[in-house]
Amino acid sequence: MNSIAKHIGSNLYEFYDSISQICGLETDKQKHWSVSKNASGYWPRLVYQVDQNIIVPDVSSTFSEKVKSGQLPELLIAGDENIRQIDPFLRQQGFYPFTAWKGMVLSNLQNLTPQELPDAIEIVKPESVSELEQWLKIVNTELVSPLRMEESLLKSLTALPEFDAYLMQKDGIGVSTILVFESTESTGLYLIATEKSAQKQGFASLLVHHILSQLAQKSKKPVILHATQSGEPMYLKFGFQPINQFFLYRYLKSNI
Amino acid sequence: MSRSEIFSRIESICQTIFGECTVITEKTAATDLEKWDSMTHVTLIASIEREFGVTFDIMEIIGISSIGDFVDCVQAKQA
Repeated sequence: MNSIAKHIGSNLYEFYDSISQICGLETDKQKHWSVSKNASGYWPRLVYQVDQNIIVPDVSSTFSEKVKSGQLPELLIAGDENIRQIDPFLRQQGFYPFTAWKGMVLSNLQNLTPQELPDAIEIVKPESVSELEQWLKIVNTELVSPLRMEESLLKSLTALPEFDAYLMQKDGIGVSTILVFESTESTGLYLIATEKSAQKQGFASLLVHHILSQLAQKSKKPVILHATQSGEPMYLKFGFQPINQFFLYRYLKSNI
Repeated sequence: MSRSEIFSRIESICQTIFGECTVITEKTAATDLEKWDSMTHVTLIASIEREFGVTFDIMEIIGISSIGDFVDCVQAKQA
């Protein structure tokens, strides 16, 4: 079970590493945390891979200095290993937890039966201006708001073999998104979102089913994702198993 | 402290954060208020901790989705 938990974490960290490197985002890779920075207001802008050694005096003092000098972005992801020791330190620094993602894995894709898509539904890789706009509108509104993912970032990612973006359209209008990221040992599903007026109609489920069916044809790698509380029931239905947790923190600028 | 006293103090904090005219009940959830985003959520946590002199455990925090959940957490700590 520990090695699966490690895959779930490493896929997430490799995902942000790849985005940062490929798109030339400013990064600050330390041994016990990594920072991905973009221009202010743009996604991604976060500290990730925070591990338990953040509380070791030498490491913690460097981290504190960076926080004080305003060098760390406002969002932070910490794994669940020793979170109760890490949490008081992060709070001292001004980071407060606000939600958690459940790290989930689907190890066996073989039992998945491909589903036919209804007539009005199409799944495309966003390439045209309109498809790119639709994909970005959903992700920017439903997932990364108030930050914004740039079109140039999406184009750079989809030009690479390890990233595949998909857009589900109903009658030509974008309803759901997903970004698939292949790391060496696992396949990660990211940015799964549905346009607000199309929610609770099964579009995301249909899109995930389609992607999993495709993956079953070409790969035996485990599929992993990081689910919000509201998304978890859908993934359980596909056979994903919850393994670990990732805690999201926000920097509270003012001293309330 | 009674549950209604706890709620009343939390209600006052909420009105400072979300606006004086915001109607708050124990059932008010993050999805009910447009202004209740991750930033206001952490502001609420910090303000309520300070108001009642308590610290919420990380597992309690990630389980909080409504005002009633905050009242439950404060009440449990004062029992």
